[in-house]
Amino acid sequence: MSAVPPARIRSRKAVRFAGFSAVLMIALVWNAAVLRVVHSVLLSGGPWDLVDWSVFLVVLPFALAGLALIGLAIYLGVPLLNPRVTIEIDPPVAVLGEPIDVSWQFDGAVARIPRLIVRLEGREEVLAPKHTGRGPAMIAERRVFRRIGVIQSSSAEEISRGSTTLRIPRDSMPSFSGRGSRVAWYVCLYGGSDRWPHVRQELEFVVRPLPLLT
Amino acid sequence: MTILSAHIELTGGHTFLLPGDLLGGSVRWRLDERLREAAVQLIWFVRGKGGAEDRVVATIPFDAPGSVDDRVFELGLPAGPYSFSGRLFTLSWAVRLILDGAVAAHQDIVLSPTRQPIAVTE
Repeated sequence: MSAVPPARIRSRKAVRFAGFSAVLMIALVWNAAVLRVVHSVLLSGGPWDLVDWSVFLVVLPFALAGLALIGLAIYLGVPLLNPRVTIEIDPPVAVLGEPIDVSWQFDGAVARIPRLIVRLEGREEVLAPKHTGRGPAMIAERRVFRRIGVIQSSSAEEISRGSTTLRIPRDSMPSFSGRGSRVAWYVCLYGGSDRWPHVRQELEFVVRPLPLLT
Repeated sequence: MTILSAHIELTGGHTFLLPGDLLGGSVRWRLDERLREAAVQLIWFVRGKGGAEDRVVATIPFDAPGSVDDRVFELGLPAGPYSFSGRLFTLSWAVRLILDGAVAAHQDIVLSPTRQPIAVTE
C-alpha cells in the first residue's frame, strides 16, 4: 500500500435529494394552480355544452406541463431509493503499466442491483470556452478513447463489496490537461436492471506516463 | 527581414522518438540582413475542438547568430505528454527554429513509448 491515502468517492444523496425536492415543490404548486383554474373556469361554469373551449385550449398546455413536472419528480425521486456506493482507488495516482487497486462497497438495498459493471475509461474531453480556471472545468464534449473491462458480475456477494487489481496498458495515453482539451481517466461503476434506474458513479484519477529510464 | 532559407535536420532523420531520448540535430539559415536572436524550441501543440494551444517545453538560444549561419543542438525529451491522435483533438510535438521571434522552420516529431501517436481504440 502507498503512503498517500487512496482516492475515494461516495454517491451524493443529499444533492440529489435537493434537486428532487425542488422539482416536487414546483410540480405541486404548478398543478395546484392549474387545477384551480380548471375547476373555476371549466367545471363550475355550467354544463359541458356551455364550456368555453377556447379557454380549455389555453389551459391544456399548462396542464400537460404540470404532468411533465410530476413525471420529472418521479424520475428524480426513484433513484433516491437506490443503495449508495463508495469507490476507492489505491494509489490515487496511477502510473502506466503499474498495478492499482480498485474497490467498491454498496450500502442499502443491494438486492435491487442484479448486475454490476466496473470498468476504466480513458476519455478525451473538450472544455467549455469560458472556463476561468476557478472551480471544476465544464466539459463541453467527451469521447471514450480506451475502455478497460474490470469486472462484470451478477453475484450478490460480489456486487455488495469487491475489489480488483488492474493495470492501464503501457501503450495508452496518460492524463493530460491543456487550456481547452484534456485526457482524463475514470473508474466507472454501473449497476441496475432494465426495470430499475441505474446506479452510476465515476471517480476520476490521474494516470502518469512511464517513468524515464535514468 | 527576409528569410532566404531555413532548415532543421534531425540526427539520423529520426522523427519517431521515445520519452527520455536525446534529440540532436542541426539548423541552418540564410537571411538578407543582420539577425538579433536565434533559438531552437521544443514544443507540443494541441489542435482540435478545444481550440489551439502551443506550449514551449525547452529553448536553446544561439550566441551571436550571423545572417548566414548553421548550428547544432541537443535536447533531452521529457516523459510526456505523449503524441495523441484523438477524435476531438490531436497533441503533437515539434522542433522550431525561431529567428528574431518568428518561426522560420518547423519539424514535426512523434513522442511516445510506441514511437507512434497514441490512438483511439474504441
